Parts: sequence; structure tokens; C-alpha cells
Amino acid sequence: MLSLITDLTFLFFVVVTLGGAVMAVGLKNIFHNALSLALTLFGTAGIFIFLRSEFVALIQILIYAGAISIAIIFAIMLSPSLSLKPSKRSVTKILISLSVSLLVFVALSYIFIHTPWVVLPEMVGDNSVKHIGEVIIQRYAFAFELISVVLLVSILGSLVIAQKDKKTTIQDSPND
Amino acid sequence: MINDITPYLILSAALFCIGLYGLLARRSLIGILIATELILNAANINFLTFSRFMDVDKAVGQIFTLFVIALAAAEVAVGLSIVLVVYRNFNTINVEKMDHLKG
Amino acid sequence: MSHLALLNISVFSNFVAFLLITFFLKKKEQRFLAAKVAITLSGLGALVSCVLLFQRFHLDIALTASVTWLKWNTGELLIGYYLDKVSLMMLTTVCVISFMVQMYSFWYMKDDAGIRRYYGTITFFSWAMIFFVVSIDLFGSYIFWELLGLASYLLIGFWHEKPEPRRAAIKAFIMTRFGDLGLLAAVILLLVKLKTVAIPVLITAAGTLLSPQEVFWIVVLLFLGVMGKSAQFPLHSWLPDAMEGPTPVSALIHSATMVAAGVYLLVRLFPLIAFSESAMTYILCIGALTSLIAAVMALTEKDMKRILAYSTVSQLGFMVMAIGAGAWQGGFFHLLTHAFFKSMLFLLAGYFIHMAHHSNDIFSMAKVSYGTKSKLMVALLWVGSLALCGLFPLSGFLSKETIFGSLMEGHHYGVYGVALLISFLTAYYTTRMAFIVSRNGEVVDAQENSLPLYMKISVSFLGLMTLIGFWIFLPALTEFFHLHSEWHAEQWVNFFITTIGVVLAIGVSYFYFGRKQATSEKGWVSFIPGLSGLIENKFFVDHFWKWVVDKGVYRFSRMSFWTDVHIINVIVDQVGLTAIRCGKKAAALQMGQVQQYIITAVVVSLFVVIYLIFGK
Repeated sequence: MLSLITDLTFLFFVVVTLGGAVMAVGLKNIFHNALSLALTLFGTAGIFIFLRSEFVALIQILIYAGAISIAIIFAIMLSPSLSLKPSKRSVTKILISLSVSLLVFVALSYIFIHTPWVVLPEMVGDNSVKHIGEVIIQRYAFAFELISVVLLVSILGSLVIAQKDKKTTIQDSPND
Repeated sequence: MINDITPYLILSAALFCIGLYGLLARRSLIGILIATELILNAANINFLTFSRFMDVDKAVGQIFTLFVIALAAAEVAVGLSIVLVVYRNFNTINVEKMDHLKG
Repeated sequence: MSHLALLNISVFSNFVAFLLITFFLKKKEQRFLAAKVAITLSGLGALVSCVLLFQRFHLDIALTASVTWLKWNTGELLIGYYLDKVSLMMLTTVCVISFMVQMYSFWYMKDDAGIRRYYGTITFFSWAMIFFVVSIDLFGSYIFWELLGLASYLLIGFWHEKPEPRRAAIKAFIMTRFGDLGLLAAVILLLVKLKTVAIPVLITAAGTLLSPQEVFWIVVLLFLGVMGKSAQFPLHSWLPDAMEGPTPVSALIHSATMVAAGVYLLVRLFPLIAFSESAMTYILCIGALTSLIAAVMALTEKDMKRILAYSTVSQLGFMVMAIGAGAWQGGFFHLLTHAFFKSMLFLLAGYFIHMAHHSNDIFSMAKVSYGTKSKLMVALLWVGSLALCGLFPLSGFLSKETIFGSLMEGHHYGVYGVALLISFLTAYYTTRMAFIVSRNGEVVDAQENSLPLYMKISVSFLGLMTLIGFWIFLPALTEFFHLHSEWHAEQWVNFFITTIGVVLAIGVSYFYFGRKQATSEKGWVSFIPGLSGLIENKFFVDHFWKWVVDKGVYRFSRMSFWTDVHIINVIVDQVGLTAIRCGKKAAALQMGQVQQYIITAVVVSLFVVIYLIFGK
């Protein structure tokens, strides 16, 4: 009974994730796309819990769903011009893209199914937040510092790029 | 089902391919950005899956995922500002119109 | 001072003059200063070389000084000096004659605007020649050998505004270059076989390290270079044409020194050459043929310089013949004496040409009336001519007698006969020239005022060397050249035969040209059917080379041109065009659509993945 409920919950999250993903790329309105992305991110967070990574799931909701998707939505909403012009989609392009991604999917699934995975027994290892904190501060301290620098630089960089002062604007070259 | 590795991998593959489709088919720069997020999430699911099923030290995969999330935040910040600049210069965010480097 | 320092001074004095003239004395008003600098420095070199001669001649050990110039795992090239008796005598001769000619040139060239260029080139030439003489390494010799060719080219074409000197310069350069290829090949062969081309090694050990077959081919190639440089048949025809250059240049380069370089090289490497019997025979034949043909060519020539040029070719052939017969001492001795009297004859030719209002024709000179001022020059002309004939007691007699003696001793009776014939012809055409030139005509000479002293000194010194110079050195030379200090019956027979031949030739010459009422131009040559035509056509040697160039070189050039245009060009064009077409095709891939790039990337990586999974 319990396993059925967990299975159903898992399936639910899978459906939410994939359905959100399909809507995020399939819908025509860019605003709907962004909202669907948030939905997908929530679903992924659920999957993360099934993967015994509660802390990451929490961060996913906080940062991804809470900050990144909101940033995209804000960008769309604050600059209305971006949401305009839902131009017509060309059928050939869609067909090509669809077949390529389907091919990739088939290939990946084939690999995943046919690889003899060596799975560890359950409950081996420590996945507590305390352990994560220790490892991130000790073994991955340098990468951690580096990530902070990258974040700082990206924030400054995005400010510099997006500022309205036109001194460094790239001139549109004549169309050839 | 939830204690088996394959469903998670198939899920991540599906998410990746949907993201790939978006990457290939969308014309709006923001749509492409969103598709990229999907691909990153597929990668995250893979990281955590292998961490759960195949790694003794469970912290490593999670830390990788955290890094990916941080980088995704940076990427979105820069990406969105680039979208704004592109719109300002080209007056469109349709990638098919951005072919000034055509040979 | 050490001998090495003295040698350095005599080698580099001319080079210093060349550098000074080239880089410092550039202005037009400095041209006489440039000439004086050149004369002073080459005089210093000549003096020092004489000192060196007197200090070193009794020593049997050669002076060597060298540095390694290039070294690789199996061999090395040296640069430096090798001064034994042979090179010492040659060094002194070259230095002294160079000095005398430069001194004379100041009179001859004083009205020429290019006097600075003249002295720059001639000092450069002297330096190259001197270094060639004392070089320790055959490769170094080869380098200076080529520099000699360059200097010769520049000086033949000295009056480059006229077409004939230009053509003569190019002809001389190309013909000698053709021979030089052979020399270079010989040097390379020696380098490959022996790992070194140091002259001391070549003349002591080379023969034992090489088989006679190898020596033969090396010598044949080497001799090709000698044929070019020393104007041996069939590469001799550049030398008469080289007379287009200034007369002092002819005196220095095209009679006394540069053309002697080939003979000198043979003397230098004689121990190596002597190892191959067949190579010696080859050299002998070429020398005899050259000598004979050139002597015949000179019989009816009217241009004084060309007569002397043919006689130079003939005498060089004579030396080569002597060396080929094994009498290298005689050949070398004749080279030295010939250098003095032939350069004097050329300098005198310059004087007589000047007197005859710049005409080279001996019959124009015959029309000139020579006053008392010219007495000395006419006398010296006779001294030089009789030395060329080989008449007792002049220097030419000594060396010629040595050659005849060696030929007789070596039982080369056939060669002896040929040499006798050559000697007869030489005496005939030389005295013909002297008789005609020294005729007293009516035309007033072109001499404006008395000749400067330095010009007289330079010519007289050479005349003195011809008259008595070699007699002074005879004791030392006798020892070195293994001459007979006491004459036996054999020598007396030899002496009488040659002298009678020469006197006979002079008599014939007098009969045709010397008498008051003589009017003949060609003498007895016109009585022999066919010979006159043969001479006029220069034995068809120039025709032969023209035929070679037309049929061989030009045809090959045209073929190459056709190949170039119709095959190589097309291929090259197509390669280029293909690249351009491919580029255009490839540029189309660069369509600016990022998403299509991604599709390509994904599909390709998909194939890679499929290959990695299923390919094995």
C-alpha cells in the first residue's frame, strides 16, 4: 500500500516535470513558457526528494523556482517588447528538431536500459546536510570560492551589459 | 520503481530531449534560455541519480548539483542582459534574424 | 714581425684598400685619392710579400694557420693559410704584378670618370686572387675562385655603356661558370670521400685514400673548372673577347693572374692528379690542343690585344700540357715568367693603343711615327716579344727550356714535337706583331707630353724581371725546380733544337713583315688552303657553342616554358581554384543560424556515440 502511494507520488512528480517541460517549450506565449518552467522546477525538486537529496530539493525550490524563474518572468514582464511577436513557426524546422531530439532520446534510453548498472545497497553513505557542509568547505573549498567569484562577476557583467548608456553599444552593421 | 535506477535516467533523458527540442526549435532568445534551464535540470537529475545509486560519498553529487544551480543563476543573469542588449541593437530577439556572420 | 703577420699584411692590404674605397672615398673629387690609396696599399702588400719571399724561401716547412670554419660530425672546412714554396712564389708574383699594374693604371685611367670604381674592383680582385693562392682549404679556394670570376666579370664589363663589353662580360662569366660547376662537383666529391678538402691533406694523403678510378673522375671534374678559368679548349673562346675590358685589366687578370689560377690549381694539386695516369693524359691532350689552336688563331690576327690574348691561351695550354706530361715544375716556372712578360706586353699594348689614337689594329700602329720618347717602349716590346718566343737569355727561355728538358727526359717525343711546333708558331706570330708595331710610319702619335715616371717604372720593372730578374734567382730556382746546373749533351741538343726553331720562325717573320718593302698582312698562312677560313671562323668553336645553346639550352628552355604554361600553370591554377570553390561551398555552411549549427553538432555527436557503442 505504502509503496503504491510512493509510486503514485513519484509518477505525479514525473508527470509534473515532463508536462511542465513540454509546455515550457511548446506553448506560444513566452510568459506561459516561463510559468511552465517554474512548474517543471517544482517537479524536479520532488524528484530530488526521491533521490534522497532533500537539501538540494530545498535549494532547487529556493533558488531555481524562487529566484531564477522569477527573474525570467520579471524580465519578460518588465520589458513588454520581449513578449511580443510570437512569430510563426516553420513546420520543417519543428519536424527536424523533433526527429533529432527523438533520435537522441532513443539513443540515450537505449544506453540507459542496456547498460548493466552496478547499484550499491541502500543506505550506504551519509547524505546529511552536515556532511555536505563539511565536504563543501573542506574538499571543495576552492571551487566554492570560485563559484562566488563567478556569481559576483556575472552580476557585475550583466549590469554592465544591460546598462542603457550607449557608449559601448554595438553598431548594427549594414545588412548584406 | 522508485528504488530502480533506470526510471530516473529515462526521466532525465526525456527532460534533456525536450530541452534539446526547445533549443533547436524556438526562435525567441528567451525560449532558448528556458530550454537551457531544462537541460541543466536533466543534468542535475543525472548527478543526483548516480550519487544515490552508485556513489559511496553521497555529498559529492549534491555539491555538484548545488554548483550547477549557482552557475545557472549566473547564466540566467548574464543571458537575460544579453537578450536585452540584443533586442536593443537588432530590435528583435528572433535568432533566425541574427545572421550577420553569414559566410 | 712574425711571418704570419707579414702574410696577413700582404693578403689584406688590398682588401683594406677595397673597403676604404668602397665605404669612405665615395665622392667624385676623391677619385684620385682612392687610386693613390689603392696603389699605396698594394705597394705595401707587394713589398711585404717580397720580404716574406726572401725570409722564407730557404725554409722547407710550410707556414700554416687556420681556423675551423664549419664542422659537422664527419668532416670540417677550414679557412686559413697554407704557404709553402709554390704558394709563396705565386703570392709574390701576384702581389708584385698587381702593384705594377695598379701603378700603371693611374696613367692609363686618369681621364676615365670611373677610376674610383676601377680601383675598387681591381683591389677586390687582388685580394681574392691572393687569398686564393694561399688558401689552405680547397673549398676556400673555390669561394675565392668564384670571387675572381665576379671581379673578372665586373672588369671586362667595366665600360658597360657599350654593348660589346657587356656581351663579352656575360660570355666570360657564363663560360667560366660552366667550368666552375665541375670544380664544385670535384670539391663535393672530395668532401664526401675524404671528409676534408684541406690542401695539405690532399697533396700528401689523398692519393693513397682514393682509388685511381675515383681520382680520375675527380680530376676530370676539377679540370673542367681549370678549362673555364684558364681558357682551355673548348671553353677558351671567352678570353679573346675579354679584351673588351681596360687594357691594364687584361694585363693583370686575363694574362698574368686570374687565368693562371687554373694552372696554379693544377700545380697545387699535382700530387693528387699524378695518381691517375689517364687523367694526366687527358690533361696533356687538352693542353696541347688548346695551345696549338690558339697559336694558329694568332697567326693572322690584326688586333694587338687579341694577338696577346691568343698567345695567353696558347701559353696557358703550353703550361697545362707540361703539367699533363708530368713536368709540373716547368709548367709552374713558365707560369711565373709568363706572368711578368705577358703583363708587360699588355701594358705596352695599352701604350701603343694610346699612341695610335685608341686603335687596337697593329697596322694602325705601324703607321705611327715613334719619336725618341717611345724608344724605351719599343725596346721593351722587343724584350717582351722575344721572351715570349723563348729566346736566350730572356726569362721565357729559362722556363720554356725547362719544359722542353723535362719532356725530353720523360721521353714524351710526340709532345716534344708538338711543343716545338707551338714554339715555332709562337715565335712567328709574336715577332710578326713586334715587327709590324715597331714600323715607323708618318702619322703623328697621340702623345701629348712626356710619360709620367711611375708609368715608366712599372713597365721597366717588369722588363727588368724579364731580362735579368730570374737569372738573379736562378740558384734558388734551380734547386727548387730541379734544373740541371750543368749542361750535358742532352741539354745542348735541346737548346740548339729550340733556338734554331725560334730563330727560323723569326726569320720567316722578318721575311714577310720585317723588311722595308714588306706589305703582307697574313704572311704564309694565305698559301695554305682552308687554314685562313678556319681561323676566320675561330675553328668553329663559337659556332659549336652557339649550336649547343640553340639546340640544347634554348630548346630545353622553350620546352620548360611550354611545360610551365600548359601543365604546371594549369595544375597550380586548378589547385587554387579548387580551394576557392571548396571555400565557397564551405562558406555556405556558415549560414549564421545558430540552431542549425547545434543540430549539426548533435547529429555528429550522435553518430560518434553510435560508433562507440556499435562500432566495436
